[in-house]
Amino acid sequence: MTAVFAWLLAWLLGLSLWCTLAGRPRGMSAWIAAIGYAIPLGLLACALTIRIPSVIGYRELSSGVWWWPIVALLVFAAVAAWRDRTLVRTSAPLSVAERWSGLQIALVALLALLVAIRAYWLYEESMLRPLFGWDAWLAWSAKAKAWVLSGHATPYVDAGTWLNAQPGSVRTSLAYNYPESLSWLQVWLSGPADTWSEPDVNFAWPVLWLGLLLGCYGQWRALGVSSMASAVGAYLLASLPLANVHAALPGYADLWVATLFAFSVLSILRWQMHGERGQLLLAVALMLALPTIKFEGTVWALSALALILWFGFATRRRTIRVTTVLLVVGLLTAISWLSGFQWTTQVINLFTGPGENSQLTDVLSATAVGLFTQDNWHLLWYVLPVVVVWQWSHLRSSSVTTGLLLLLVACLSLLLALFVGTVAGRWVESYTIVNRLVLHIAPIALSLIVLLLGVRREAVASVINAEPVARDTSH
Amino acid sequence: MNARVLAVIVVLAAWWFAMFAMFVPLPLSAPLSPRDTVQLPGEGFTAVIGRAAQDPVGGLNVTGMNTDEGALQVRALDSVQAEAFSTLRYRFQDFPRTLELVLVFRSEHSPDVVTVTIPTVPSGTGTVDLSSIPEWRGRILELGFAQYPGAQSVPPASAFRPFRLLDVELWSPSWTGALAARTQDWLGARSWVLRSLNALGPDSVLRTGRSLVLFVFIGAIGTLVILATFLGWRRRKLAQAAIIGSFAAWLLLDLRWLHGLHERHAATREAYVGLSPEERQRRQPDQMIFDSAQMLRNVLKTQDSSTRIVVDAASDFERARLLYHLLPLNVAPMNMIWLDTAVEYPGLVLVFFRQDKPAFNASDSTLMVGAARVPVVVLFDLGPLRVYRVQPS
Repeated sequence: MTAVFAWLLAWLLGLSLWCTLAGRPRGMSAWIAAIGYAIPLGLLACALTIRIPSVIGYRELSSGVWWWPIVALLVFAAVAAWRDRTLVRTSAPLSVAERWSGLQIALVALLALLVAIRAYWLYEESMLRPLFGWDAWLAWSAKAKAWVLSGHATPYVDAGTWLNAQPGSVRTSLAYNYPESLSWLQVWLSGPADTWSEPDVNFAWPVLWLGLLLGCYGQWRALGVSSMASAVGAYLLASLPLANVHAALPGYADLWVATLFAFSVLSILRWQMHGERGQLLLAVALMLALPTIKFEGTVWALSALALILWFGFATRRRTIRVTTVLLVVGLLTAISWLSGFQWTTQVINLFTGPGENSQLTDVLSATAVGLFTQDNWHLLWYVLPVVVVWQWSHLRSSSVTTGLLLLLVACLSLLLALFVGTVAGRWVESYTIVNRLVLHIAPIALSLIVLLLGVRREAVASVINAEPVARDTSH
Repeated sequence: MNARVLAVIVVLAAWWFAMFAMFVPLPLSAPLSPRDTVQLPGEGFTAVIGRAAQDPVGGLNVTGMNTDEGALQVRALDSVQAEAFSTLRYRFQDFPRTLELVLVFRSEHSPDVVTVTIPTVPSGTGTVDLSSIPEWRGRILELGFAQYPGAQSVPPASAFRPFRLLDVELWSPSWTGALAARTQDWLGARSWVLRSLNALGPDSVLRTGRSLVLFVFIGAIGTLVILATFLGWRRRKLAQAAIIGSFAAWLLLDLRWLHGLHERHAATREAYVGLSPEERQRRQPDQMIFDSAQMLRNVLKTQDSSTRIVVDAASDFERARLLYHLLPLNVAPMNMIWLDTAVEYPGLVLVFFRQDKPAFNASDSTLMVGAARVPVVVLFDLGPLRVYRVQPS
């Protein structure tokens, strides 16, 4: 299998997943969104597919396992084709083409050039430089490398089990209990080279970054944002320095978490605005993928679930809405803890682990430094509150933007609670954690700005006032 | 030009002057240009480590670097009082982006040599605000520059290319010196370091606590307020100006980021372009650790591939990197297993990299683990690497 074939397979699988869940894209913007989503969806689907044998006890990485995603592609493509025949189509989406002035064309051309130049440098940086990031060669890539080079997906266990088990039957590392989807993804990407090839693996990160831009652009258009505002928003997202760094220096999980979380939230917003059940299914699929990438992914997945519940109980009184959301999230957290899920153990360890919590003022000032004075975010965190205040009445008039703001506030509150209430505050003060966690929510923060400033309200009103959206009758 | 527009220009000029005065910061009591300068031509420096020779037309050609110690060029100074000179200006020609540049000096106050990493400037003039270095005080006895491969990011084999040290100047406090130093800080080239993945800003050398982002934000806000006040802008006009101004400010910050990204990428290209993918994977920044791992594979290749190996090293970084380079061997870090536990498992292989402890007693072939003596067989003991197999007690 060549690298081109592997990538094409992953992308087609991702596209077929989109079509299966949300229907065939109609219109340029819809296709752009689908292409963007297809990248993480397809890569993770390939990773999941080649993992299946090891889950059921067959741990040899034989050459045949690389062909399993083709089976998945055929299945999902068939389902997508059948669904496309049975789906009753809605009226034209919000993303109507607009005419740009000469100045707008020049502006978009300039922004596209800046993105293209940057993309080339990120791509070449990721391909030239050996694996660089600490967590990459300590955690995710280490497992993938061990499996690829040994040809055997030996399970990772704690040190005690490793010492007492049959030698060679298990492995161990400091990251033995980390989620493994990212490692399996790297195993998939190494397949064409038939050995551990860092350039082949690293290539996924700048491609994912491009996918994030495309997916957000397309979804913003579907949510009623003008093409000009979406283009500018995509540039602003592309320009976030820390996101550029994570694309240029591959191996960390944070860009994946940021992409999956943003895509899940944007799909939820589409479901809320247009009643598109397919988008809700997409959101749930992405939500379920989040915990398999990184422990923090579980927290964000629960946040996305809270948003779904918030919208789902929109007709209820606020007290009932809030109570339902808190109860469901609390119940799931309790079930996780009782079931011994690792992420709950990690969170408890943060609260009870050795070391003292940092002073509140130190943590808050370190967080503020990270958001407002370092070079990570340009002016994102300055612009966001100003836009929210300025567009307050518009924000309150739309359930989509209200829900998104509530989600953002909840996420920021969770981060602050983590920093202030646990030993994680020490890592904030040394700037090793704060910005990477903020990266997870930066795309949705930018989405709020884009939705508040860029939505063509007359277009939204015309859709809302039009005939009810026809439902998918195939279910 | 009417009076109102003139007033706007004057107030804006005053506002931005105040911003520069605060953020550079400008030494308001100092003159525009330095009153006193000390000129230090490159040919006056001597290579203490590495190879260098005076160039016939001036400057010092640095042509070789010691593999382990880098390169170092110094010169003695006569009657240079640190407090009188707050700005360092340095000019190199063809300085490789793959090398870290370190300012080295000794003063009467401190018997030890002080080293401070400063920004590299491939060609052109670099400027550093010496007053931000706490040790820069008293009479300076000696000054120089050291060069090393970029820490944790540049393979030693790709790091060095000949360059020329043209000249160095020390300036007394001045506005031009302060501006040049701040420009270097905000717009100068930076290298990739591990910290870059966590935060941009703290990953730069000589962090001086003046944020360009904050400067741009406050400057833009003040500009908007002044324009709105003097020109009587209403809400809609103010909103339009705010959007355009924010976008313009974001674009300027992004252009500055792109410039920095280009410089970082240029350093990566210098180190790796032209090499095959296999060669790039062999040329690691931690070449010694990589080579030690390959040596260890050779030592252990007659052993069962499932042999359990516990690794320890002088630092967390070295241990983690050695573990990564040893894959797919069945390895584990010592800080998970702990030595006093590991020695209870006969057959376990222990690897120590750049560590003197535990000590090995050759007379009875034992390792000193606490108060206990653990019987081991020596598999390898050369240079930084010691490898033992635990024997039954």
